Amino acid sequence: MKLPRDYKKEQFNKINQISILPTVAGSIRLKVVFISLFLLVGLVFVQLVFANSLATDGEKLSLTQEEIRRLERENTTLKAEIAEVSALTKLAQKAKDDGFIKPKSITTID
Amino acid sequence: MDRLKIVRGIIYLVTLAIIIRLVYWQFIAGVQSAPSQIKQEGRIPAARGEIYTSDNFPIVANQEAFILFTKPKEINIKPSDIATKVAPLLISEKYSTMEAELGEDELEKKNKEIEQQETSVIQKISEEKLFWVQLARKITKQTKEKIESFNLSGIGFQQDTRRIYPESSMAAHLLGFVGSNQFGEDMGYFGLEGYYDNQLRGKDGRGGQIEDPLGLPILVAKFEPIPPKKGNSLYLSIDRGAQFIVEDRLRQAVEKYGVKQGVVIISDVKSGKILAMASSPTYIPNLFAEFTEDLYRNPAVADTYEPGSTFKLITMASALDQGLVEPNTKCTVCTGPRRIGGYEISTWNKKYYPNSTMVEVIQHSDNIGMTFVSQKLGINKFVDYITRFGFGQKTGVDLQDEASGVIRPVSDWKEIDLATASFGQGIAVTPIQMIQAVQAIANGGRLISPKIVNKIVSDDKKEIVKPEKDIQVISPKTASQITEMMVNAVEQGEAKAFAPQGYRIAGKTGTAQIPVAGHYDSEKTIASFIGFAPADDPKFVMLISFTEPSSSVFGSETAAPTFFAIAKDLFNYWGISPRD
Repeated sequence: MKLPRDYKKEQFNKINQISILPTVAGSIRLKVVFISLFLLVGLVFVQLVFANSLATDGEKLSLTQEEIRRLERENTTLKAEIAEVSALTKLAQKAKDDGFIKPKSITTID
Repeated sequence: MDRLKIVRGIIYLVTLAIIIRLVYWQFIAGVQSAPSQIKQEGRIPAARGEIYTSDNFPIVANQEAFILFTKPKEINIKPSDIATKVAPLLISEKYSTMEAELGEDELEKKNKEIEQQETSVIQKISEEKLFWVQLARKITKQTKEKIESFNLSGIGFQQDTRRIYPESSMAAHLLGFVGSNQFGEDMGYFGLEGYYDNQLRGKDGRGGQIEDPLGLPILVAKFEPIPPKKGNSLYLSIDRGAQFIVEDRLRQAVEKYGVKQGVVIISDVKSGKILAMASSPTYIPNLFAEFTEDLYRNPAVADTYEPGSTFKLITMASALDQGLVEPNTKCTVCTGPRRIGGYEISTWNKKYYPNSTMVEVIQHSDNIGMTFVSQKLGINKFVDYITRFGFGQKTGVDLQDEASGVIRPVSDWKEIDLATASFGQGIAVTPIQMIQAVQAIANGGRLISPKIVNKIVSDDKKEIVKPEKDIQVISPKTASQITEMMVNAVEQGEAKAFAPQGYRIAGKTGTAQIPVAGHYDSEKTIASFIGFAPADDPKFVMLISFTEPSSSVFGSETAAPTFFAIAKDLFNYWGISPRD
């Protein structure tokens, strides 16, 4: 049976219309994949940057903590040294060595 | 279509697997494995709180110190070589003080101690089974630097702190010292260090951090170190200048009068706070181990004694307060010795003053006159008053080892006990109780229990220390009457020659014989003087107590001159002008 020419043309056009849909959907999927890949690579990179930065900060923290401990130790030592040189027992001895004597009499003026 | 579904399914499965794994790492495996990742963990010792005098001077502070340890497995030279170098640096610090001029005996002791240290170090280093052995504690930074200069392998140091006393032995009995408990931890003993140990000791922290292979901290890691909490600091009412004056004068008096033991306490009349407290002989808190243990106790609060004639003030104040006698009431029994309960009571100098007034009874320190007063009071009222004055119970002073003294129950009292107690024999009191009682007289009859700490300060709060007792024990009128009697006793008494001119001082001498093996030894006395000044507006109350003075047994010849010498210094120091 021979089909009429118009019918064939009509069928051909129908087939063409149907096959256009998968072509468009495939293009969108590709874009999603690309964007996801881009995000993934980007985030991995950002994580690397942060991890690197944190590793450096760890060293900084270590140094800062050591500096705090050193300053606290120094503060304690200085406080003790100040107290020792300003002790009355030391001052009295120094005054005596330098020839100071206690007043024999004190006059009160009202 | 089937292939697409398969690929999609694989993607979903992989994604799910990743999420599950991430959840496991984040919430399950992370928590379980965190502690094992900590490379550095350990106790961070907390610094002990400081102690400050009223001028904010750190009379007890902290200093950097170290624990010296060895790891026997890492030692690669002969233990004896290490011991020879290290041992001389580990002996008592008394040998290294500048003041120490070593005699032959001391040099011999020093060499012996070095030998002992060498033996000890060799023994510890030879403990090859042990990984870590402590060689010494609390070594100074200077000692550490000297040991470091030897470049010894297997020898290390651990951070620590130690107490430092800038004023050396000043107020030693008051402060106490820090030693080690059975676990090797710092612990306060005696004085303020003992009483406030829980406040002064801090809370140790916990250190630790997750580290990378290079030893640097990993900040993303979850670990919360606990910082150490420093102990609370004490701010005292002790006046450093007054304390210095007191200790200086006490040292001179002990030498001059040949005193076996001397105690001086000064308190503020209005607040009851202790301004100075000293005892002799004393010790150096930093070198406490070098002194005998009997020196650690503070006799001002821990020792009891028979107060003798100073106690007459309490008996007289009680009778005046009850209206049983007046200052001009005449003693009708003062003609001579009395027999009470089978015992003869006489005066200390065998002199008798018939019809003397109550003012004169105090002036002459008349034992017979006091028996007259006590008989008017009776046992019940007498015991009631001495209890109200705080005898027979702890004052609550914030020092370790306070004694409560001995006051027998009323049922045990006999007539003779009342008679002898009225002039301060046969009862036991502490020096701090006497100060508390006379403070009440000086303060218009208002007794305020003594305290040494004004406030306790931590990082985030401040606690004011309040007295436990604030009560009216006698009326202001009685306080005024007894004050005038005390002023008269100073101005007309035997020690008047020593009193500084231009000041009205209220005081009373005391000479109590010491009971030895059931009887009183007339050659062994406790000589004392208690009083306050200026009498019209008292700034301080002071007690001087000398045990067994050898130059004279009497308080009027030993304790009274010391009282007046200190009072004179304090008038100048505090700018108290003489009256017109």
